[in-house]
Amino acid sequence: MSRPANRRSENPKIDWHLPTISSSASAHHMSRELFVLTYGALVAQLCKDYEQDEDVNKSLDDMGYSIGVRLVEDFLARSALKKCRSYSETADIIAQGAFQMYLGVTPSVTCTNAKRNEFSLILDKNPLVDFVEELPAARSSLCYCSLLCGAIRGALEAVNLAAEVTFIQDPLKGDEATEIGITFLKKVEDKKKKRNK
Amino acid sequence: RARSPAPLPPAVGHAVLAINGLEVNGRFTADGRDVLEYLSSAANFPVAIRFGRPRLSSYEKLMLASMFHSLFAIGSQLSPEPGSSGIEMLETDTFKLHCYQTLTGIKFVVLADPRQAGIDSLLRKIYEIYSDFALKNPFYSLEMPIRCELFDQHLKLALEVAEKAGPFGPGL
Repeated sequence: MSRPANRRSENPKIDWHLPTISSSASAHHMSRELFVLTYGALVAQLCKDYEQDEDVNKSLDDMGYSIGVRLVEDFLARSALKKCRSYSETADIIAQGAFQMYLGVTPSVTCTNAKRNEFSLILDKNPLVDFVEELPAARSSLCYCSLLCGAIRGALEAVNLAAEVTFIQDPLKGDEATEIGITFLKKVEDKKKKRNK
Repeated sequence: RARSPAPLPPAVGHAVLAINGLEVNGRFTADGRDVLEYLSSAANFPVAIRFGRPRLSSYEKLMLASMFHSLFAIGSQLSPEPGSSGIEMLETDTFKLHCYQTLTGIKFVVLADPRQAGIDSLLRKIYEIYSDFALKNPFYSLEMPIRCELFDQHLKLALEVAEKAGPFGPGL
């Protein structure tokens, strides 16, 4: 999915001025409506291509994964972040750094288990479903924002954190808020990052 | 990469890099003419010949990079201090090698003159250029050589800024 930069339109722009470590780093400009509409068109096309909801969900998740793996580099290049020392720090960065940077919203973060490896990100308003009221009757198990889950999962994997990311609450299915659950799994590799990409 | 002016007369191991501004690859110029023929033709006089260390081939670069990757890993494990990073800088008489490893495991390596300052900000800038023009290019596959025109252009610009700034670092 392409994110056009510097697109002029009559729609109100959100200037996501990114935290920079170099004064020459560019700020991303994008019309939010354009992005939300593009996402909707993508989901609609996938619904035409696939009969089963699970296939659409999987496709969105895979796309999100590819996006996440690349987007995390952009995020890290533009913010002077050091390595996170705990899972809760990671969840906070995702909510306050990444969500703010790319979607303009900041979910609240809560830890949902005693082992401190399961977290919930709760959004009152999900920008991706601005124009969607409810799912069509034939698509009741469609997970509209699967792409977000895939992106978070891909981004975490690029920094060597294995995680499961799912939607716990979805307003399109009648829930009140949008809740994304992140479960950090045990790291398979050694803590030292030696992968040469 | 910093280029130092070639010493006169040419030193051992140096090859012809360019004649009269035309790049030379081995025995032939960039537009396919034989170098020795070009040099013996009086119509091309006066000739300005640039000597220097021959450029590394892609294969050599790959080999040296993978060797450095291993040294980088060994460096962090050998270090007596726990939690050390890998090799960040390698200093010699004639050059300095700077390495920046991202949290995703990608390493950016810059070879520069020992007196050149501002390499840290150059490395960060290269990271940004990589994330903008390589990663966001839909036709670029991860872990492959980067053949993106925009990436090359912006990289060249960033290098020029850093080089011009010299020992005081770029005013980025």
